[in-house]
Amino acid sequence: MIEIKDLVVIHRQRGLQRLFHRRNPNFDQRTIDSVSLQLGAGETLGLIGESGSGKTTLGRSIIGLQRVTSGSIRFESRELVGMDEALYRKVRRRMSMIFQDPIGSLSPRKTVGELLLEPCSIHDVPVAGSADWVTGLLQRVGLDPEVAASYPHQLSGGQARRVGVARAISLEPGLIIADEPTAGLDLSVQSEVVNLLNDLQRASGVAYLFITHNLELASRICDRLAILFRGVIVETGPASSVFAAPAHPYTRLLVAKRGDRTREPSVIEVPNMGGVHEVNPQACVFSTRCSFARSRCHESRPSPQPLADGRVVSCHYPLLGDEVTA
Amino acid sequence: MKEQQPANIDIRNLQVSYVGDDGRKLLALRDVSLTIASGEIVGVAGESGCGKSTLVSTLLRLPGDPANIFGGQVVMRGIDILQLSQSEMRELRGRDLAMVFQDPFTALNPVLTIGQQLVDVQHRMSIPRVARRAAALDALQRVRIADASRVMKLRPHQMSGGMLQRVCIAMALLVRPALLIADEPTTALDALVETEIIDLLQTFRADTGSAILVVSHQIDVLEALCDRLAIMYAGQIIECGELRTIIDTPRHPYTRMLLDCDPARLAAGARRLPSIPGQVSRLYAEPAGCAFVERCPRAVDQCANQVPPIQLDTSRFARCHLTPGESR
Repeated sequence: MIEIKDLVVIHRQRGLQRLFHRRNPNFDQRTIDSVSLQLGAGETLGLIGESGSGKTTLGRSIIGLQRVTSGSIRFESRELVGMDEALYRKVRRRMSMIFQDPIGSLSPRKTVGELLLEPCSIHDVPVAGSADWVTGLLQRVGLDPEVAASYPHQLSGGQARRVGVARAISLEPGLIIADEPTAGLDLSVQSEVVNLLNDLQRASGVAYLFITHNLELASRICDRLAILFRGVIVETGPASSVFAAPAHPYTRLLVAKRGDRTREPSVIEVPNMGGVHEVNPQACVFSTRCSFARSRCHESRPSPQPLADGRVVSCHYPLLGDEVTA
Repeated sequence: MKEQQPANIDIRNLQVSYVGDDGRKLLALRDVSLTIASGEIVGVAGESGCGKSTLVSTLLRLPGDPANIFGGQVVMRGIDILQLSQSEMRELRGRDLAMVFQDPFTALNPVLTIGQQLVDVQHRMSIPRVARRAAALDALQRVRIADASRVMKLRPHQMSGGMLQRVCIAMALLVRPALLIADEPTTALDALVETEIIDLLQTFRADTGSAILVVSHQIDVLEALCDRLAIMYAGQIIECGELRTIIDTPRHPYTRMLLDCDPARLAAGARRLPSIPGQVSRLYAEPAGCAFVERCPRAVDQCANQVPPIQLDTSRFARCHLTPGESR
């Protein structure tokens, strides 16, 4: 379905940013650093990371909202990086995105009915009997057909999410990038949205890239997980094994229950101005925060290495519990 | 630093309403009673619209709040703070009441340095300026900010969310309030920072003896932080008691369903998440029975037309017709 290889996204600091970054005026931030991932049809891949880890940027580069610096993104056996604009528009119809801010991603001046027809007009898909079509779509996402006449500000958080889901599925895509689709929702509404996504997947075989910082949620609804730290995938593999026996120290920190989580160093470093991370490009990205780091971790960047259970870990000294070696 | 005596906060039978869009009176808090002892952390959980935010704004009584408080008392040091004038209330906020907001990015003034804001917050204390700066530095160190003197010179946009939330807690530390209200204090933060903030709030309680009220829709955060838990539904506290008792043996069906929705509590491999069908009802008049009756899978006849009794146990209460044990 989709295969990403050695993807790199560099955010070039421009104008004032460049001027103010005195210590290193040519500093460019690697937001995505050699990321490789695969996602099969009908599969759900959970992309986990903290804010600033690059998870949203990765999603946006797949769907063409973010310029890619180098690497390859193959979608349904076609290379997207460097693809001709006209052809890209056609391929683009096969993917859609559920945005993080459900109300902000909907035009405030259009009714829900108009918003649902928008993808069709953008992609020149003729819709016969548009009112019935909108009703059908609303019913598929569990909304009352009367919602078609509402404006986004009149919707509850859960309803706005469902409208976002309806827009995403309207053209029967092969891949949906869901960026924090349950952020800010009540737990029971979160369950409803997740169950809806699940039902739609079973009916249509759509693949999801599920972007979230909620590892507990992701471990229960995803087939595979990819853990992102500062633009690098530190661990990827079947959700159950990543969650049950994390092999990367960062994953282990995320998985640990709140009470037992290894305490952060009791004195916290002051982050650099503007939140830019300056890490020795030769060192492991996690080495400065890792409680298991040895000298090798500060000197060389670990390359991804496969483990017996189908996992891939970027660590010199992966934590191999009994579950993994057995 | 001024030494202030800790105090218990006693919320008694609070009744609050709003005027809805259609001009009708909407009941937001119905007979809410809750005691927070000094040195105690009490969590309030519930879905959106259950009255959590109304409870917070009623305790703060910020000017311009459209709420109509039509019954009840909030007693602190023998005084009902609901009877205080707005200027007396202003004295109370920043001395006896402090707040940690959900979004640390907008809670601080963007054009003043952190140091200036930490000094300003001490304006009620009769100590020299130098001592205020020293106290500010000390507070930053107590929230585990390294290089505190450098941070004093920074402005909010130069800092991360976790650092800013630490600054907000440092501000509250300078005030040593009788009651600290934390409204979704970790919702905007990453998981690892969240752990740190939870730890800081617990240290805060130990240092100051303040009573702390934490409002959150994240049950797991409350579980890691609180001593007691109050579950709200449709403007009412429907169950309240010791944290572990409530979590391990919930008595009200709503509490049980809310806990079940937490993905952390699901069995591995369960792809279908439990939810609570329906929505929190908006109440325009006191219901004849239990407000949860339409969504309750265990409702019996009397639930619809009899107000549920308050079942008391030594350490907790629940408003439910089901006898103990039945709700499990």
